[in-house]
Amino acid sequence: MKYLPPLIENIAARLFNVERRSGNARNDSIVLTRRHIYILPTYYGILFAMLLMLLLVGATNYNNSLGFVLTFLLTSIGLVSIIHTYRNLLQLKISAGKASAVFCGSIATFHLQLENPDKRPRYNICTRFNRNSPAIINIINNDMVTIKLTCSATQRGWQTMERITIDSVFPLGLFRAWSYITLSKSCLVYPLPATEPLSSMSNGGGSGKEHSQNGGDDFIGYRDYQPGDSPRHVNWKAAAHSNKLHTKHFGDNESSERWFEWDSLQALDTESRLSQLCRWIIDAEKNGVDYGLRMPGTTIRPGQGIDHQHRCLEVLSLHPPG
Amino acid sequence: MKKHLAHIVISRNTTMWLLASLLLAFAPHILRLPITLSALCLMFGTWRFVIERRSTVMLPHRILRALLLCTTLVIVYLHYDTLFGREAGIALLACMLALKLLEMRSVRDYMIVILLGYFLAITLVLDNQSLPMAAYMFVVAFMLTATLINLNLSQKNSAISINVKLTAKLFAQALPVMLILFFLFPRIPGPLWSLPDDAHSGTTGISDEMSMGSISNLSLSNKVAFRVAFEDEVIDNNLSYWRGPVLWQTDGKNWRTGNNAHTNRDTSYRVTGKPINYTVTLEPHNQKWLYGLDLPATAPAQATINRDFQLVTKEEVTELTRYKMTSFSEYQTGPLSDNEIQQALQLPANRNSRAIALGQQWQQQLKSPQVIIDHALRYFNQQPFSYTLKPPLLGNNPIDEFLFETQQGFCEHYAASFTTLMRAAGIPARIITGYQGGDFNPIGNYLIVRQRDAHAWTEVWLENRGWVRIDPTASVAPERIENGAESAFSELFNRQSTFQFNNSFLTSNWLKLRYGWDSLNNSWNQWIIGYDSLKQSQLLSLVGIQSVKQMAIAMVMAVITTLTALLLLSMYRNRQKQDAVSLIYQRFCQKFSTIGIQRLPHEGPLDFAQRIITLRPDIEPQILQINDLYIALKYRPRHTPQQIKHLQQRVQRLKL
Repeated sequence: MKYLPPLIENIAARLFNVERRSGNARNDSIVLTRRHIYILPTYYGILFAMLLMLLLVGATNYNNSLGFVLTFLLTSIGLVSIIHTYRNLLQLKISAGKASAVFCGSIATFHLQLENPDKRPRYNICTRFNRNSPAIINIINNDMVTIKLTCSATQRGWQTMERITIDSVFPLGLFRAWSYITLSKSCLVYPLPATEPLSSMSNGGGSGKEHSQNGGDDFIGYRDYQPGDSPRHVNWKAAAHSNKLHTKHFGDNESSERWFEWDSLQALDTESRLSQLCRWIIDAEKNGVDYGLRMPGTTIRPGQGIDHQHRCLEVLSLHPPG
Repeated sequence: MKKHLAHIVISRNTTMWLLASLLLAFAPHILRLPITLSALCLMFGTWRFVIERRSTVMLPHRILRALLLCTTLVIVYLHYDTLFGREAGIALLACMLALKLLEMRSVRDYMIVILLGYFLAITLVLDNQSLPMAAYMFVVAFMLTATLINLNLSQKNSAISINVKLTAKLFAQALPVMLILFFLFPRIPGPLWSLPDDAHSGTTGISDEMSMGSISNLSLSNKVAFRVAFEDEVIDNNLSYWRGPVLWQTDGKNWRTGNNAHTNRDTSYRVTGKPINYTVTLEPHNQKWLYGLDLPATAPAQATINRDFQLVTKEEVTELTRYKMTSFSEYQTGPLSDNEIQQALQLPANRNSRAIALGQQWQQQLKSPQVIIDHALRYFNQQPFSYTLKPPLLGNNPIDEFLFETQQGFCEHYAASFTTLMRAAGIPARIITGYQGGDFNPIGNYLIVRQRDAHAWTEVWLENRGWVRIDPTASVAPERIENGAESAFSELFNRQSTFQFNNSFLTSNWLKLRYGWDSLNNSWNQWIIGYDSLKQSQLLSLVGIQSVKQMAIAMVMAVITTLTALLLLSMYRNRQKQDAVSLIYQRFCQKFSTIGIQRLPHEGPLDFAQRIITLRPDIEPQILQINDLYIALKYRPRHTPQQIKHLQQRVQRLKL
């Protein structure tokens, strides 16, 4: 049920040039207008209405004018609070921020920006995914607040942001204004890494060439520091001059490369294969080994680093199911 | 829907607000409730206060709470013999509220306590609807609403100023709608069902029985009995007799109304002289009569005039009542029936024998009734009688004791003994009770009659003249009749914080203030307290609203219009207030979006500037200038309008 009759809404829209937006437009930001906001009494609102009835009956029975004054004062405070609750959401701008990729089975975090374009502060705005516990914030005038909403990542691939419920009962708790928002933001979910890495280097399928964990013994050159590199290999002298860390890279060109291949895991089903590949990639990245990925239709040349890992995992994530 | 509030953490602050507002709502009841109950309520409140202050003290256990509940119920029952009715109901409400404080934990509990607090607020005005009490009720409602807002503010220890400001805003915005509802909400004439016996506790003013001392008890009360607005000019004080119950029967000590109370008016009377037209606003006194100037000629719709020329009503006057009247100060009433003569001469044989003997002696010596009356008045005037508010207590033969021993009395002593003497002398006589005199309020242009103006006088029946008013008090204390009770007892009234009439500057200003205040109270009574279904239909018919249906439609329309106007106004004002700096920066961003560079939602101004510089290195200096200025204006509190203009110009000149 909407709060204002359509005619008045139209007049308001014309007067203030309120942009009409469809409620389910898949944008990555949305401004809450009268079309999106619903308002209904809460449980306490109904209780309050019952109290008002009682006061009215009492005032009538005792013919008490001040009783009427109090009854009507409370009634109009209740009515005016509808406007306040409604305005608490009106014109609020919600935009999707970043959503970092996560592994399947962990918690996906979506960042949301709530922007208050008005000079009036907004109090007690609750934002939540269905059934999850809400983030409650106050936004002072002309400010923007970033909140994080979380949900569990259950399936690899692109996980779209769930429908957001944004609501407020401020100031009196008698009415609740709310809106449902769907933003076109997705979070990439990597496959669930296998718990036990199979001996990836089983050589069976002619996969990656096994090599010692720390690369070879020959110094090849420097590369950018990666988290997990042994501190003993960091070139500390150079670090004193620049603000970047470099790691001494050992090994021989040929054998430091590893290839992880889809075809090497024919014994397993699709998801287990992906999990296994995922585990290998993570371990290889951790150990600072160059690795490449061979999937049906896609080949990623060996490399290292977060971006490289992400590229590989993305391919795994988006592998067609079945 | 409970879960929407379940996550709110209730701060100590909220509880303190709640305790303060409840204490305020309870304060006027403290002295009215039985002392045990008041003490119990205050104890529960203090208990909760201590719990809030010291985290080591816990809420009482469930069993202890149940015990306290039972104890409270028993105490209430013992005091009132019931748990229902008005007084017991108020006591019960206050106790339950106080007890609830000891188990209040969740948002739900707080909400219920606040709502019950509003209920407690309405009990404040059940028998005091004065202007100060209205103001007090507003303060209580304000505090409770501020508590409600505090409960819904998630900010811990939210600043008091936010709370108070928001509540004030809410009240200010609610005021127009409240007035609309007050004047347009269709009023049903109450009561909806018969009220409990104690609904209107205590009658005030004159009753239909008189004993020695019953009127002098009223005489220290400054409470207003009624107010009178005259259409023409105000009548003289010595004609200002306001007729109430007429007393015939006596047992020698007490006086009661006679058989005429429920009979119709005798039509065989004649009036002469100019009619006096006036409007009376009578304070509720819970009796079945109205007051009219001697002698009332017309009765208002809610009353009839009985054979005693008293205005009687069917129901008790429980609310402020306004009525129009016409009276004549010169009149002649008709003959008496045998029954009436018998009643008007009735005296108990076994009491006041000395007074009866004196009356009989006068009858034998003087013969003519007129001579007897004059003689009796002279007797009062010449014997050492004195007029006093504190007459000595009298025993079983009060008239004898007063006439021959104490000789100190108030108007009821004079009226009763004069009537007794007349009856003993064979002249039909009766006592009239009512009010005499009053203060004229020059600011509001009306007469105020207070309880201290309560009076009793005598009417004797004379052949060819009918009932004639004789006021024996006038023989003893003529200034009482001429100038009113206040001047007759000026010393006493001085102690009651009123001033003697004289011409000093202070006194005249004090009087002005008093009359101004009373005049304000009068308007308050007329427009707010006296606004009932009758007055509503009278007022609304002036603007063409004739039926309840029209009233309801007008009310709904007016409320919707006001609320819409409020919404539109606040949105418009908000748009106006949107800060200029942000608008200029928006324009700046828009310029880039036209060439395909969008500012991302999570991008702060610094990040955005860096990105557009890498994309458009050719205009780097302009971008940096604008950005620096923007950040300075936005995040530094003080800036001049010139600086804003500066920023505006730079953004305007920027060419992409």
